Amino acid sequence: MKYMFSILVLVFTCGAFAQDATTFESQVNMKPWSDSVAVFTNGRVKSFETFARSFMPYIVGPRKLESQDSTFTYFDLLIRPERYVGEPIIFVKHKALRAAIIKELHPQDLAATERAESFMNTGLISREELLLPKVRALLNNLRQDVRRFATPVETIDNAIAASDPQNLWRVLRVIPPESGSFNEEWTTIDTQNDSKIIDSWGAMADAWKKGDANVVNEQLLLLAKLLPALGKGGDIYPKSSKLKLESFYFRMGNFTSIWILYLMSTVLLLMAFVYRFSRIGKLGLAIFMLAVLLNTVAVFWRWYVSGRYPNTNMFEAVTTASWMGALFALLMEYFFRKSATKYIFAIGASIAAMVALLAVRLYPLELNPHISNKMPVLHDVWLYIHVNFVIFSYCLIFVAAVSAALYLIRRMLQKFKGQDGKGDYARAGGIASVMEVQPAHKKNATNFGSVLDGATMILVELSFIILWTGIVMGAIWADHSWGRPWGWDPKEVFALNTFLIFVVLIHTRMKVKDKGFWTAWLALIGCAVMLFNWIIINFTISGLHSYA
Amino acid sequence: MKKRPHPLFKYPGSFVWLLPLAVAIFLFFRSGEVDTLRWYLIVSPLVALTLINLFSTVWFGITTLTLLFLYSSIGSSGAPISFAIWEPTAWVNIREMRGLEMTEFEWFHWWPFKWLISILCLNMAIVTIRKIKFTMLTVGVWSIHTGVIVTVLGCLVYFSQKTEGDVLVSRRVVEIQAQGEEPVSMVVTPSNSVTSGDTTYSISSINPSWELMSGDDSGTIAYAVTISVQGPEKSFMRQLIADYPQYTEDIVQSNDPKQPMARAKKVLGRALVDESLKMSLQYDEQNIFYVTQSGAMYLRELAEDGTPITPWIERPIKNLPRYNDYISTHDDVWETKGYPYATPLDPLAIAVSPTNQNDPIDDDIIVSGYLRYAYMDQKMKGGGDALFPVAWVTLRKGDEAQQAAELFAFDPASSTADTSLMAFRWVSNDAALEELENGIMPSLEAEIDGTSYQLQIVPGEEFVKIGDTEYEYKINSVQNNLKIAGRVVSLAIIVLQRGEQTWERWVFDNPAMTRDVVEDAQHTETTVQLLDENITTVYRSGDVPITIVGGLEDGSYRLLTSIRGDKSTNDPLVFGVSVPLTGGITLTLDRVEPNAFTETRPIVVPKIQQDPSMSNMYSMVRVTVPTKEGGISTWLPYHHYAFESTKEAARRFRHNPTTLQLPNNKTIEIMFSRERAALPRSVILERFEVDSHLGGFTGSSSSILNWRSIIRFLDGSDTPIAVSVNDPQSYGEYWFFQSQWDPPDGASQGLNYTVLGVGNRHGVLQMLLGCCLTVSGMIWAFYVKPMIKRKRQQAVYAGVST
Repeated sequence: MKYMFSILVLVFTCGAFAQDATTFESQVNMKPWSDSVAVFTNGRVKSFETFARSFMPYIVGPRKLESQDSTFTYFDLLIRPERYVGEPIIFVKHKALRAAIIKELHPQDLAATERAESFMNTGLISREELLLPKVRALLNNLRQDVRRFATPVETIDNAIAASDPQNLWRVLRVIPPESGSFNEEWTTIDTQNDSKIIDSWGAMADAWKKGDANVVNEQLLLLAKLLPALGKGGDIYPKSSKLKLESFYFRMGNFTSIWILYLMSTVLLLMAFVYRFSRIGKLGLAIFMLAVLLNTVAVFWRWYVSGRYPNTNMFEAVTTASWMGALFALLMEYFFRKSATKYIFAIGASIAAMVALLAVRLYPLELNPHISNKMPVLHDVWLYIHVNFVIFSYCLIFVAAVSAALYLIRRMLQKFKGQDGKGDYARAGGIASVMEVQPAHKKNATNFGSVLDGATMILVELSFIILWTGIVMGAIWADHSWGRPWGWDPKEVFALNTFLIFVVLIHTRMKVKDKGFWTAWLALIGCAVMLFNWIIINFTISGLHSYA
Repeated sequence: MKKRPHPLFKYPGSFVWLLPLAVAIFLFFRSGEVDTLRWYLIVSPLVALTLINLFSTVWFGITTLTLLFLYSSIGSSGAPISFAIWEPTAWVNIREMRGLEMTEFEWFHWWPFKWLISILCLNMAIVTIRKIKFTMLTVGVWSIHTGVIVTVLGCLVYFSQKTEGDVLVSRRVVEIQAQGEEPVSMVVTPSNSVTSGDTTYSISSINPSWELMSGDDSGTIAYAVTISVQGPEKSFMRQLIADYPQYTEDIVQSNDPKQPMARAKKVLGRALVDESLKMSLQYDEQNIFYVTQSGAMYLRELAEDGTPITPWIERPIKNLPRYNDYISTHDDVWETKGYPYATPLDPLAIAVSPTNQNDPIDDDIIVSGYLRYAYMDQKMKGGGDALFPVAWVTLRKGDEAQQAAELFAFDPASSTADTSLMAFRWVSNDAALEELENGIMPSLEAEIDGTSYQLQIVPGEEFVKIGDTEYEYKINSVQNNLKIAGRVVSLAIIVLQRGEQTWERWVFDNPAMTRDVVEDAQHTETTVQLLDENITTVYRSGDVPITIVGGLEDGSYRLLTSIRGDKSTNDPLVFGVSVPLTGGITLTLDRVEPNAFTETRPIVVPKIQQDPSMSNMYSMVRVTVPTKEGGISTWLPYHHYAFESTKEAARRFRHNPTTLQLPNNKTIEIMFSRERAALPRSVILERFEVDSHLGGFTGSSSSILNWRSIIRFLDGSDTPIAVSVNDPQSYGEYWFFQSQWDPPDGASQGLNYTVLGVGNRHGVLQMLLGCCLTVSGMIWAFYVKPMIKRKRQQAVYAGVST
């Protein structure tokens, strides 16, 4: 228990940093706003903290500015914009664009200044530099390269516009409609007649400018009481408990730190699988179970704060798929706890979940974790059926690829030892391998090769059916959404291509002698095609499925 | 033990099928029915029977599957040309290349794909029949293979009969009937207008969310349209509310300055200014839809006054390319500067024949060119018959900035430079140059007691004495070429002093406007006054400060300026040589064409600037209409919808047909668009609704929950049908689904039309049946079969152990 506690502490303090308690930013307490004040944005209300966390990356990118909380930076940019004049606050993601801007600013030498070097490394540059006529001319010129630079340049322009204090004020819609009407827009504080709110905001802003943290905290607390009180007439103002949970969810980094638990369980379970260390295996399984439990909490937490099942954007698709895979593995570990495949499913699912959670941590701009409304086309029951089938199958394909990779590693090691290994495959294959009353070849039934091959086939067979069913369900949805079941959209074609690879796998396995080897390679190729569909097709080759 | 062949294939031996195969191929080629459904149903089985042993192997199936995978991949994502596969530019779409020019739909209906699918199905069928005995254990495989074949057959039905397109239905049409005039109509879209007699009717405003404030339906949201009526005698506005004709009323000018426009009822005592003028909002009836990814040209003949004699006649264009540019000569397009992009010469020769007896032209029209992404641009060219001098110059400021300008000597208003700063003059002789030089400097002249004095135009704080008079002056500012009330004026603002008296005088280049500024006085043109009439002043602004002069006797060009010091300058201009102006700015004369003329051609947008989401919206075709003299060629820009006229065109969609004057005095209008197909019944749009998330519809797409078109088919039924996202409706053989809408923007509150997707879906149930069979088979093969085997094994073991 003590160890578990230590692990949890390690996980949830990961990434935390110490702040100098004497600075103004460390003295300002934004928590009352984070937990109690709701902001209306794009057809939904968020806690102020969630809003700031989702808004600031549009300006400063994925990292915090000067290690300040997004909530503080938002207010500071709004109230003390002069503090940021000439400071690098605009994030330029595209590295080729960074290089081009540096070349324009410092034509003589690319690494002319420390500032340029810093920009190249961090991607942060000042508004003023981006607004220089020569940089504007450069960006306008690059914008004409529609396929490569139009979107990155537009993102920069949006960041410049977003960082304007007037814009920061315009989007800070914290006043619910007086009527309590669902269909009425929320407004900004200046539209409010309540002098207490106006005065309090004024006092807070004055104190903020002066750096008087005590008055700021006092007024923020007062506003955090006054603003939610405006929404008491109707039921459109979210409950404070929900706002708190929402803020906490994002403060915890969407629980993506669980990847550390999955990593630990992977290491331990691999040791247990290879060396048959029973106690290590138990510990590995316990950590895996803990990770799955926390992952489940994270999914349901998000479900609660977003008000919908989390599978409508890339972040949710990736994290929910890995969670489904982990749950599946847990079930498999339970049902096959006495079989030779013990630990394999947990290892595969751990690696899949670890990769998924790391991906969403490392690429927060591409796999944006922020909660937004669903596109109209997604308001359909088939979203839940089709998408869940497909993403579950994708996760199984990944887990199958893990066991296939382990198989190939083993074959490689065997080759170094001068062994053949061609006979190492599950004789019955798939689910039948664990159903056999008495394995045909006893010696093979327990060797790692046949166990890994059997596990791969169990996963391949299941993903084969689920993927096909998912594709069919997608066609049914497309039929009543777009008026045709199949439109040869790249995403559709590559889902079918993934399926084709598994059709090839199943038939090749029937015909070749070295069944394990070919099964493993085709499982890896199938996984590569699946990943190609999810990454390259989604981000590079656009199609109708641009949202997932 | 060798498996015995299935009786069906046992006799007479596979190569016996060679003869019928050869005969079939011959007959198909002869009848021109190659690549038809019949071809695949007859020829591919004959091929399979001929190569029966090959088609009986699983390896052949695996090979076919691999080829299918490669074919699908290449057709969908394209092929990478660099290792940076995350960059969009790393991917080349093979099917879009010159020579192929296929859409995704066409790629997956090309003969290689059809052959692969046919081969796969035949391979599956033959292997299943010959090698897999139907037992309880093989039910799964039989079911999977049968399911796949049924799915493919369903697809065959579906895709061979697929028709897909869209129809734009506007919300309302305004019908206008003025007394003694023919009725006219126009679609309700911002700024649309129509003329009837000598009165113009234009859409002044549209409010899709007009709330009724009175009557039984008070609080109802209605669609309100205000029409501006501009006649020779009266002008007013008429407000129409859809479905509430009883609320029609006029708005007129009132004498109340606080409310310049008021309800006619209030001003005139009646709701309508002109009772005889009938206006109403009617539904926009659409009975056709436009077929996706098709091409067609539309023609009609015009009378001398421009009114159509015939309706638009459609000519479908088959095999039109879609992704690449095709031109006959480089003179077909303007050169695209700044990009290493040259359109290769690759002319088309697609003959488009008339298909309707009312077609105004009897002969084939030839499509000789196609541009995927281009726009028409007018440019000046040299070598014309008439003198029309044009100069091209570049202004530079160091390396920081440069600006090119096109200057017209005879049409200064068309110049791209500020005409008050820079001009191009064409003189007939050298004397005229001297005259220009003399007139270029501004001057300020004062006349006191009959004596003239030239005043220096140098702004300053100190008063300067005028001659030996008692008057002094100082210049406050000089403002040339001010545009005031539609006129261009120049003035010098000076302060005059005589003894203790000091006053400000505005000296205009038009002496009639010169006045002394008197506080609190009404300074209108009729109340010009001078405080001291003893001193009169005249200001001449001088000619344009930077003037390029051509037409000189020696053929040279000169630059006259009044901005380089106190005196005018006159320098020679040599092509390509920079001349300093002021403040580090230089001027370079790049080119002069004395006999310039305008020509319109397309400019091809470089590939990297093309927005992929625009598809072929900026495409155009070059057509040649045959004449006895050889033919008339013109470029036709793409129209997404072939509207009848501008009055029927919805906003955001082009309607700009090209008019051609044929040598036989026929005038025809011609337009490039898509093929049309008939709807089962005419359809109208009753309402268009937007459901929103919390906070209502903010204009942002993220605030939208759903779009809904309330439509009705004119089949005698009064029942409206709601078509919304994820909720299409069927009518006749087609499904209708919500496709596009009219979003609000700066020009309009939107919601003026809907675009409904239209498509048929034969064979869908067969496909679904096939898919279900496949899934069932998979479950049987992977999970039921092992259980059966296990039970049998257990039974055997039990038998052995007992």
